[in-house]
Amino acid sequence: MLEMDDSIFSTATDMATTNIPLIRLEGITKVFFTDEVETHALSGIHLDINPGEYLSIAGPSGCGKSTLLSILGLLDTATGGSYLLNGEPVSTLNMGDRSRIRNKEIGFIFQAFNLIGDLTVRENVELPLTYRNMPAAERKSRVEDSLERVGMAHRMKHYPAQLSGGQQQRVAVARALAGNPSILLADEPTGNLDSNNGESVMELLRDLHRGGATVCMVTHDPRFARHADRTIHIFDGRVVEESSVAA
Amino acid sequence: MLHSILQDIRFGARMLVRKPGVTIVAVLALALGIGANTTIFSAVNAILFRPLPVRNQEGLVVIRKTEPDGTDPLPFSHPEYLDYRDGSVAFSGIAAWTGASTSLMADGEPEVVSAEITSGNYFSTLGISPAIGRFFGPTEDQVPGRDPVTVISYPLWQHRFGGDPGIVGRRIELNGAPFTVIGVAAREFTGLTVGEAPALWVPMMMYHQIAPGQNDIIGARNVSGLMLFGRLKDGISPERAIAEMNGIASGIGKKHPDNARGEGIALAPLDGLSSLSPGERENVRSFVAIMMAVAGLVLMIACINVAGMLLARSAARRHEMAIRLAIGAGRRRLVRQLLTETTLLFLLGGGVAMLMAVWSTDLLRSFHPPPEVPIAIDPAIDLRVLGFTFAISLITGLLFGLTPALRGSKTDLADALKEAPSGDSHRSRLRGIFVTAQVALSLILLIGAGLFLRTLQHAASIDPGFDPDHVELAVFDLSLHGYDEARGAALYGTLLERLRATPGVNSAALASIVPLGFSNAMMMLTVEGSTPRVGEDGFLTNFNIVTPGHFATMRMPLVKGRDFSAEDRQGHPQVAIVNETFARTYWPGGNPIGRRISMQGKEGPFMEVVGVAKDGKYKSLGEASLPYLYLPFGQNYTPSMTLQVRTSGDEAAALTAIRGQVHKLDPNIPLLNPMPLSRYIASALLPQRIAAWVAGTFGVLGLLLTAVGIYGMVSYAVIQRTREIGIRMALGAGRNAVMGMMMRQGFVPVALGVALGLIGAFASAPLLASFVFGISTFDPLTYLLVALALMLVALVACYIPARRASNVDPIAALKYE
Repeated sequence: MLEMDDSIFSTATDMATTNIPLIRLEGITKVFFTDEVETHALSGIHLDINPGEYLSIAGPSGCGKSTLLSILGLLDTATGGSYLLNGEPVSTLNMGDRSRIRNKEIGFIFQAFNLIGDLTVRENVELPLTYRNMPAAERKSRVEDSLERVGMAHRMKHYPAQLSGGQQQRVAVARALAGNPSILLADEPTGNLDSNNGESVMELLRDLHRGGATVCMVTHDPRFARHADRTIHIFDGRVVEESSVAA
Repeated sequence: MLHSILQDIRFGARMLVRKPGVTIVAVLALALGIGANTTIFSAVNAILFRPLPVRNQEGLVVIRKTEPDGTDPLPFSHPEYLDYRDGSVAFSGIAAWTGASTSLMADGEPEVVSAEITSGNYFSTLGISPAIGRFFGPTEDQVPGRDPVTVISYPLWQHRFGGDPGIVGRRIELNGAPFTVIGVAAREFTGLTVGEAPALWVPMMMYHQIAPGQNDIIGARNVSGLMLFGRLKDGISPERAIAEMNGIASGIGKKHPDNARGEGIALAPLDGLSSLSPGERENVRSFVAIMMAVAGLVLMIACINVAGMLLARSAARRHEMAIRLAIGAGRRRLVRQLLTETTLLFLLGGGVAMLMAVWSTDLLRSFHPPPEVPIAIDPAIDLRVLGFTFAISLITGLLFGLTPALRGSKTDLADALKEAPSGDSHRSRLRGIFVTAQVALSLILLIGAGLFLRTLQHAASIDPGFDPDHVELAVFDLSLHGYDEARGAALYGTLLERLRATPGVNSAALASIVPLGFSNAMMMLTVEGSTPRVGEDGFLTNFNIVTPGHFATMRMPLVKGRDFSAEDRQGHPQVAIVNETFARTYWPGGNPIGRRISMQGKEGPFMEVVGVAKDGKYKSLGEASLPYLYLPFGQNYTPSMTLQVRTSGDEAAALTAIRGQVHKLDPNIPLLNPMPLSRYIASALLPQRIAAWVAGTFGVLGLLLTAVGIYGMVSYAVIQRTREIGIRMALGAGRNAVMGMMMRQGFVPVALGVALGLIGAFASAPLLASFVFGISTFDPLTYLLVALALMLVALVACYIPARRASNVDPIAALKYE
């Protein structure tokens, strides 16, 4: 059983020096059962994501890339195979432990931003920290720091509806960063943005990666996939191609 | 226009059918709320609104004599009645009546029934017709004792005589005297006082046959006891009639100065409460108002509940409304459409409520109060009740449908057409406000019920000053059986003697008044050494006439002096026993034994106080200590007495023994209302029991509806916030965090409702003051327990949907729109 102590997870730098992948998927399968129909969304996915790596998952709509991201983000469980996060198996964790890992180790960036309309920018970014019982002063400092990093500190008191799509996605990135996670999981982060704002968000992710963050992004747009160090292509639930960009 | 309204109605009906779940729940909630009101209103209608079944009731007025200071109405004597009747030109008729009990003997079975003794023109002045036979004529109103005729009530005809078509002309015995039945009153006519239903009517000239031994009400000007009503002639105003009647009163005063007190005359519309005293009328109206308020609260809770459901449904129909707006419907048109649907729903609720009310009023009608409670109310459903139900269904439908209709018709077209999530926190806030209102109303209702229940609970612990267990009662009225004082006293004496010798009987006594019942007697008393207030002749004092052994039988301790004895009889020094409060009031610090009091004024003759009884409760358990006087039966014969027998436990055997002894002494004397004393005094709490039952039932109903409202609100919030819940879970919120969030959302309006409800209960508590005793209307324990109980129910109602929220699949939630 995975211990929930903060210290159990090595930092990305530690992991890099020990050459243990941050995430290791072995033979991951996912089958959806609806009535009497079985849909194989993922079939035998093997994947390592190393600390500090920028990985993109590409593929056509319905190929299983979002399902894979959900499993990576512990939002969903695999039907088969094993999933090691920081060298520890996470497939068998209970709901509470999965929530705690999501909160501490994973930062989500969604296509639809998924900011909470009734909360201000500041409260949205602070939200994951409130689930850790973090002292208020530390939360404040982290929120301000995150918003500074994405250039949204001046909009702290605004509500999401008062922001443009690009600004909302920046706030969503700030929220993902605030918890200082081991990995950022981005699901089509530019899908709801125009090309300028899309580029801007991709630039932001690249900056974060340059700063040492591990990023895993799902996209169907080859232009954005090229921002990553490595791209895996999924088709019909299988990894059909893997390509790397020379450093 | 008509076509579009019909279209709205058709569409509205279709919408109700399309969502049967919501429709059924809403209709049931409304049916409960409206049904509660219909049921209570059917009783209120019978008490306050149902017109007397007479011709042109508007022309009938009750004629009241008033004291010079305009206070309590006084009854009239028969000679006065004749003066007014014969001297008036403003009235087409003035009639007189009074109530009495009489022993009815038919087919060998004696029964005591209530009767009205009326002037000959009573029925003609009312303008009613008999079911069969005839009413009294002018000849039967002329010679005392000459015309022994009677008109019987429809129920008596049906139940006692099996609806015998040959009843007219049949001879029956009233108080042992033969009377001929000349007619049967119409089924709907049950006398002039609501709640009282006389079994028969006899002419005034037969008064002495019906009330033997009573004062000469027919001939004596100083013996009052009649109530008058009259029918104003067409075109005569009440003011003119009053002026005329006051002129007659003045003439009577001049002609008979000995009996003149300077009274005036007042007129009031004749209704079912006319014959009650102002205080009694006020009590009835207060009680009715409280019951209607209780039912009204349930209705409001139900309506708010349904408004919450409609609000949720309007959110679900946002897309449909957007399409309607997009194709050119005006907002006003949409509001009308939604209001039509709501009104249909409420009318449907009203229809089901009507069916429920038919059942519940049947239930009420099948309830017969115990014999010691002289109440007869017929809460039948009539056109007024139907109209009331229709009106409240329509009005509440329009009122409570308006907010959801306005909200439902106001939508962001672009978002709604895309079916994008509305993020409409305004609806959530509105539902929160609805829940707050429901909780507040429910709390007020439950606190009222709690106060009544605590009153009953407290009543059980109040010491009435006597021991009601193992005492059997039976009422006798020897005047109804032709007994004079000598024979009556002898019979009572023998009966007591024999009963005391009966195995299983510990003691036996007689009393004219049984404490904590519906009867009471007062007299003006002179207390030697005490001066009455200015303008008063003496001290108005409650009294009871008792035989020796009364205190022992009732286990009412004598704290000083002695009990009455057989020596306290006519020809011996007159004596009395007072209670502690009497002694304290009139002889503070002194010894009451040997003090003197008089019933005849300061000139005497005087009675000597020979004992002091412990204080008790006489009229109600909630009363403060009253001065009370006991007089010996041996010196104050009265034919109507209640037998009190303390038994060693076997009540049935005791009752058989009593029956046997009475039968041996005189087989014609019926044992009236035999019952244990404990049951008899339970009727003293009847108003509180009814109030507790009604408020408790409706309180639970309100609580149930409120719980459904809270559940609905939190469930709605869970649906509305599903996506947010998914986001929070993705960000690491655990189940408990999500559950806590939803519980908070549900509980904040509940807490606010509790606070407002407590304020409301505090504010309305004084209205209950006359029905709550032994505890304060601000009783902190009641308030606390009710608030806690309501919060517990609210917690459960919040918990179920909150728990469902915590089980939301985050992936599904993130995709949820």
